[in-house]
Amino acid sequence: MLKVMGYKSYLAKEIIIYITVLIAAMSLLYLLTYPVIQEVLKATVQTEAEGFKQAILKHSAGHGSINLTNINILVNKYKDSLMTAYGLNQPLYLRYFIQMKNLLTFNFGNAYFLEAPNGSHKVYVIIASYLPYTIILFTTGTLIVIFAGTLIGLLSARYAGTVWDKIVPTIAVIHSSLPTWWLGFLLIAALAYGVKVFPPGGITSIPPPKSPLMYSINMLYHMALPLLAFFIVNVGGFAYVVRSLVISTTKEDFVMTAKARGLSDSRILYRHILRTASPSISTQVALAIAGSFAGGLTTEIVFNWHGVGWLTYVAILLNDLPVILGINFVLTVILLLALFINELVKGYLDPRIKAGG
Amino acid sequence: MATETGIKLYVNTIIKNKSGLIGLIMIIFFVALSIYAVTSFGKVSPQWENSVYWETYPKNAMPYWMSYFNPSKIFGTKTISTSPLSIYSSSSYDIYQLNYNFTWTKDKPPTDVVFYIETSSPIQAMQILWIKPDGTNITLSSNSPTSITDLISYSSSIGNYISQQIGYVPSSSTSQTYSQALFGYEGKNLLNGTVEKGLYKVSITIVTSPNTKILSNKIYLEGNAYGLFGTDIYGRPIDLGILLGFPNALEIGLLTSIISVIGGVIVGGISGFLGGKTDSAMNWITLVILVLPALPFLVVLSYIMRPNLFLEALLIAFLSWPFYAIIARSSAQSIKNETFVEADKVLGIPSYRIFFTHFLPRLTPFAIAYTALGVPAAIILVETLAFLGLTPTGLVTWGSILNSAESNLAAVNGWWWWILFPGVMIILVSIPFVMIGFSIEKAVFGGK
Amino acid sequence: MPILSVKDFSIHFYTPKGVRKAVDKVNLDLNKKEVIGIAGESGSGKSTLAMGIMRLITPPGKIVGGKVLFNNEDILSYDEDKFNKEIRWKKISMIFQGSMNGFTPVFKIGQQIEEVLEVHEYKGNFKERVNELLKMVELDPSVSDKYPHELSGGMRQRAFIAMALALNPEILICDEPTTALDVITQAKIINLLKTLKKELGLSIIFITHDLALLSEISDRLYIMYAGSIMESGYSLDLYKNPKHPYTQLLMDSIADINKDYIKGIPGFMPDLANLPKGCRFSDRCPYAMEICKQKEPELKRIEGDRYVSCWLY
Ligand SMILES: Nc1ncnc2c1ncn2[C@@H]1O[C@H](COP(=O)(O)OP(=O)(O)O)[C@@H](O)[C@H]1O
Ligand code: SF4
Ligand SMILES: [Mg+2]
Repeated sequence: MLKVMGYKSYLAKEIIIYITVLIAAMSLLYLLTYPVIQEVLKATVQTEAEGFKQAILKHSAGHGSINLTNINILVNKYKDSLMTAYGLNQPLYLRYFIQMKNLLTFNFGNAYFLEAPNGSHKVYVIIASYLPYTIILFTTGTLIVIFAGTLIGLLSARYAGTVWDKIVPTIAVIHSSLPTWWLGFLLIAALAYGVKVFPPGGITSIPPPKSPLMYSINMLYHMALPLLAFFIVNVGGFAYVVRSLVISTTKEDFVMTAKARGLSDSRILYRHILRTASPSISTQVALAIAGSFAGGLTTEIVFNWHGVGWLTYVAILLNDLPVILGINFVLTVILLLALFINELVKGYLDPRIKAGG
Repeated sequence: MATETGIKLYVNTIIKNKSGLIGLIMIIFFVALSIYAVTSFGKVSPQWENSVYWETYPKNAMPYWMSYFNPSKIFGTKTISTSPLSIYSSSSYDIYQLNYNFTWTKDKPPTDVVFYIETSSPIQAMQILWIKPDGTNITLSSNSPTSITDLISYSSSIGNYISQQIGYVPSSSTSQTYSQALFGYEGKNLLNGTVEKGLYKVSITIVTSPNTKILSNKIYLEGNAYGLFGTDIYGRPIDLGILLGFPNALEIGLLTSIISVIGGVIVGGISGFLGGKTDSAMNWITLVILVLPALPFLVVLSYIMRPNLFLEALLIAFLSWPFYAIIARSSAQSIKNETFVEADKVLGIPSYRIFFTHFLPRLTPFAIAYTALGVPAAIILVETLAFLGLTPTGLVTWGSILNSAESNLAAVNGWWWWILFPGVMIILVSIPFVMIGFSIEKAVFGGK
Repeated sequence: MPILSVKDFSIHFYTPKGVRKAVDKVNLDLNKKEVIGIAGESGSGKSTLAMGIMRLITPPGKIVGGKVLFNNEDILSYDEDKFNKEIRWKKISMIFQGSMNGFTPVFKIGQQIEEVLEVHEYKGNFKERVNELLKMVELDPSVSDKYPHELSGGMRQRAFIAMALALNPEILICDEPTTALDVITQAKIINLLKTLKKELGLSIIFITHDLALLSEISDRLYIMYAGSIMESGYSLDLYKNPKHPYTQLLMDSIADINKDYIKGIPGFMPDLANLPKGCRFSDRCPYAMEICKQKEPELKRIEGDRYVSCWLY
């Protein structure tokens, strides 16, 4: 009964679960977007073959004799090899395996219109060049929300029955009813164009400052409004969850006995209750990240913050399907990582998990 | 456990709680507004994207009640009409004259002047004589007269007049500039912003084919304030747009929330109740759907399926149920550990009966609370999609109004009403559901 | 002079359905090295009384009157800080019915005992003390390195007793310490408590609804009903010769357990927010008289150390 499983086997189990979830989620995305993926890949083959042809023409331009038939044969051969690589001329099941392999290795084909700052049309290069900005904004915002939300939640649980008790449900209502991007929109109208305190958008000023220090400060200044919007919308929901978790933990037997032992209230709250509730809080963090993704991404649009959310918007405007598909796959992996890290943290924080069950 | 069950219990719970009651009243009010919108303005919806339809409305007008604060600079549209005089009639053509008089007392000129003459057959020629209070006058003529003309239609006539007076035509001339030319003092100061006050006379002469009737006629002196919430750059009244957005917001919010909560509670409930291998399997499925990034995924699906309202609700529900499944699962687990459930198991009561006697009654309040809380979540997601430009065709949504505000740089231009009110509506519609959700949650789970 | 003396102690719960007088003017004495038992049906206010002595009553409950004298000093008048430093766990410690869930689940047993030592500024080696305590309750020292969930219920209860003894308290309150355990473990724990009492010279308040168990370990008994003491006296005496009708019925119900079927006391305990007028047992008492429904009897001494609250005496 008291089988102690240990952290290592817990880890192994979770890794297997998450890898299979990754494959299943990718397959699901693939199935649901099958017609679009085929179309995107055909277009990719077409543009690559066209590029190949131009390259040959350019190369043979100096040599006088151009044999178009030969070139066309070459181009068709190249096209065939691409078709094989993308699995387009294969039977369905092989197509699935080849294209899944491509997806899992982030090979999403070429964008229709968009290109990366370095000129590449490869979807993964484009996404990779925008992703860091999303990560910077989103991670900073999430960290601030977790920190402040936990603090507010704890305080309101501790001073239950006072004003704190009213504040948290109120800001939780804000969380559940306010779109982040709209708040951002409003903040821009008020604080960037109304009273000109903050820049209306962008990642840095143009041109960006030269020294790394000034660059960072400049970037922080540009992050202030989007962070504020993200914070206002999300902090209440998180504080509410922490408060509920803490209050329900407070009703457990061990809290009463801890008080009987002569431990101070703050010691019980910060050490015993918070520590016991922390695995659940960690899960809530992961779910909150999943839940605030949509809002966070759209905020980038109003703030002209060139991250993945903004990229999505531009891709929608340009009907650049390969990019939108690629973003789907990349964000799935990121979300999965967040949830996986949660499992690790939870396993680490909660000794009961290691015992299996 | 309380013996009182069913809808009555929840209605009682909601009504007893002050915020729950306020929420309920607000929802009833919103539903009434939706019904009003559908019955009275249903025909307007398809015209929303048709800019000609909104021609006679003032563009970028702020809310009308703003004029209360500064009546001499902020004012609504003034319309005048007259009875047409037939001054010539023959077998080859008719000539009519329409004489209008009006007194202008504001400090600013109208934002635009729109001439509207509806005739039974097309107008062949048209000339407008504009006489200012001091007797100076301008003649406006258009090569291609139509039944609706605004000042831009007369840009060459007015442009000539401006350059005669001040020597050049400002490069970025708008209807506002032309209107100033019609209302300013003739001379070098024509465009400096001062307005001639007093009695204006406008005389319009039109030539039509024989036996043409003038069905109606109007001059719109466009104001810079209109309606409860102002208008957008195309003249579309924001208040009307908001009203048209009500039915679809409520519909999709409720639909999505009900489907996803029912799905989540069934999966999570069974999973937590049965435990073991079934639990692991269902948990795994939940995880697979949970990791799909809702927003970009909906974007792709919108492309592939071009969903209508109902399909969009289904898609959002498909991506949202895991959140409810996770919460339902942990509730189910804690119900399972309660002693009376264990006692039933010991007594050999079959598990499907335990499920119906203990689980469903205990999970129902949970489901109702989360259905209420799920409505605003769904509304926000739908409006977010609309903001990205993905709205089921033919619908006016608050998100699409905001999308158009974003692409027309409303924030830069200070058209705050275009941004503020649609967003406030999203919040206002969400709040009562959140309040009801919280009050049920509080009543059922206590002190939370 | 008793080491602990409870005088006119009252604790009320302010619920939406009214004020529940869970402890109603209770008087009680505990002498040095003595074990007293408090018995009564569940819901009669025993735990509330114990929690009240430890000052662990939380809203909607409130201590509304009386005194708790420890060595003749009123510890109810101490401020929270002083009470925490000088009394709680140091002089009076407690084990609970739910003590097996009394450890914080995320810390090791050893850590939690050491925390108590640290908070109360124990002078001496923490590790050694923990081992010594575990030995005292007949647990292996390796237990200190275990998380609570890794131990069985009985082991956890022992570990909790070890923690309760950490600071050499003078008084140990045991609130149904064995109720959730199986019979064999129960017996072992009771034996352990008996030994500890002898070795450490503890004074013990032992609370249970199980009279048979009490007669085995307690010197004196208090019978509680609906928030109030009905009868008190020497255990053997009271056991052999119960005076109060409620005690008599309670004794009967134990006897019946041995006969293999349960004969409870007919009727239900009254709502503590809505006690009957007069004697609070009158609606269930087979001997109820006219006066019982009018006036509440007082706890009177009727002989030796026997006190009874009943109009029959
Ligand atoms: N938190 C509380 N809120 C309201 N009433 C309570 C609370 N705790 C205890 N009570 C009341 O006090 C009475 C005595 O409870 P308790 O002291 O636990 O009895 P015992 O330990 O004898 O079984 C109960 O019947 C109950 O009505
Ligand atoms: S006082 Fe009366 S009612 Fe109460 S126990 Fe004694 S005889 Fe019974
Ligand atoms: Mg008790």
